[in-house]
Amino acid sequence: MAEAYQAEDDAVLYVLGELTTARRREFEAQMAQSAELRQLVQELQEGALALSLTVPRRRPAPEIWTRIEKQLARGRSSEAGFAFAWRCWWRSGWAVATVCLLGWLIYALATGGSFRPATPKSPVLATENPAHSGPLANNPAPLTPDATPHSSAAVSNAALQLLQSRTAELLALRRQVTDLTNQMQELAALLMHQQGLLTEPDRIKFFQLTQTTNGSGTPESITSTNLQRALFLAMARELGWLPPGATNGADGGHPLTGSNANLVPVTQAGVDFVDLHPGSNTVIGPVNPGSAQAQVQTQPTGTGEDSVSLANLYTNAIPGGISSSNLFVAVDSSVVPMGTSVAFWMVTAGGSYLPMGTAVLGSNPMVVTVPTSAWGSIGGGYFTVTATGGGGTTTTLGWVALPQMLAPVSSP
Amino acid sequence: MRFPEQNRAGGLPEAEVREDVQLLALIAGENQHALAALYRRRSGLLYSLLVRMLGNEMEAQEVLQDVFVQVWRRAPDYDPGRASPVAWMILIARGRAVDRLRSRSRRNAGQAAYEQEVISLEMEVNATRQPERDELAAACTAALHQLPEAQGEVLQLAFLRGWTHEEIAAAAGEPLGTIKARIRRGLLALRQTLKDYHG
Repeated sequence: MAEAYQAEDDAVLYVLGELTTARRREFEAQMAQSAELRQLVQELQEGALALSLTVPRRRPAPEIWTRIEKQLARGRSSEAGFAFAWRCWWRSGWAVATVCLLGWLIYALATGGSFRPATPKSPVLATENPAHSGPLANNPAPLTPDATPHSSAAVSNAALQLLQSRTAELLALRRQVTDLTNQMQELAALLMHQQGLLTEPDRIKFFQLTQTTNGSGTPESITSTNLQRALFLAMARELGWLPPGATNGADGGHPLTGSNANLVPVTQAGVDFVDLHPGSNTVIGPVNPGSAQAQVQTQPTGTGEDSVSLANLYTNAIPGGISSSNLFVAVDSSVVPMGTSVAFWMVTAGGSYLPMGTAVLGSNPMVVTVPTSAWGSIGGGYFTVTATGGGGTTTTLGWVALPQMLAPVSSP
Repeated sequence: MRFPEQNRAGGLPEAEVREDVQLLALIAGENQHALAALYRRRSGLLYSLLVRMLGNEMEAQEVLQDVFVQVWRRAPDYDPGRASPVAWMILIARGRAVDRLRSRSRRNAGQAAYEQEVISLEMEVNATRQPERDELAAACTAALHQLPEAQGEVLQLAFLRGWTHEEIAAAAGEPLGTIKARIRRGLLALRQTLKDYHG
């Protein structure tokens, strides 16, 4: 009869996961022999399910599944991760052992050196007297050798409780440290991967030409919708997605004026593409990129307005990209007025200006492409864009540094 | 891998249990799509339980992640003869949550703490009545309220707060055997609700 009660009690503890490993195995062996016991366990599990259903429903955040996927992928791919976790556990294991030893010493001191194994039913002992229900804070018993046996037992019990709680906290912290370390490794691997991608020569990288000043000293980064579209088409063209287009004006685009005879503009999908051929194009006038405050005519057709600073009126950024073979930038009337002559330069680290060519903006957005071979082996410096308005005054629209990341891999 | 919105609350119709068992069998064969499907079906229930137990959404999210990783690893050991998949997962989740609760700090399992926990459980139940709660959940909640007060209290303290039987007995000033019997009878009474619901 007593065995039957014991089995029922153990069934609840089994369902709640409160049995020790050894006792659980014994119980499972017992269950294997008893259909009645298996039935009871199943019913208790269903009771636990019913109790869980009483909890108000909440939805987990969508990113949890992503985290699970990542964790599974990490577990599969990295044997090293396991080895690392093992090392962490080992180290933490020593830490736990150290804490246990310290706890033992405290216990030994508190009990005056006479150790007696304590009962594991510590909460029962701790609450024999409800007034002294707390493990330490509520227990006034002094830690002195002449304490009464009852207070000594209470202190011992409290010390054990403290030790248990510290050990549990330490284990939880160990788990957190392991999790954080794994996350850190994952982020480091991701960063290295991203850095690796940036250094790949065949990858297109995007940038925005920074203005020297826009009057307020703060560079703007506005890119018009037309420019975004033009840049996308430039990228498509660079990747070979855009079929070879008709010559200028074929799709009704505004006639484009090149400053040189060898400039062959192509209009595709409402965007004028200009492929510069440095060495044979010429640039209008010598330009000092530092003279950004130059005054120019803002309206090429002349509207009767006075001359104003181009930089103060047109402050939009010039977006661009660079592949292993070409550098391209997009310009439209949100950057400079229609009819403006736009010149492109390479400025070496030594301050020499190498002209890449000139184009005049028509009514369509314009994409200008310069082959990276054009600047040979200068290995750095700046790509600079200047504009010459109707009044003949030139100003710098923007520039981008060409660090190692953007520098051409080689020149033919 | 993406999945649609959480589906309705998990009852225990035979067909759903069969599907869950099939999914666990696929997961045992390292089929991650099956894990995604199981997550879609059961994560809401498990997450709700974890939030209720831990009282902290961030911690509940961490544990939910851990639970599904455990499901992935332990699926080969799952025995349909011993527990339904949902019950199996609930008990994994509860075990993890209890570990967290116990690692926070050693509980002051006295009478005052007992009364405080009981009051907080009552407040949570009253504050979270949801009209949209599905019929089965409503039936289970009603069954929980119909239990004798002392039985409902100890059941929730043991299951949702992770108190041991000994702690409850000491705090309530009741014999250990009485507490064990209350918890067992409480679980069986709630189980009867499920059985009645599904006929």
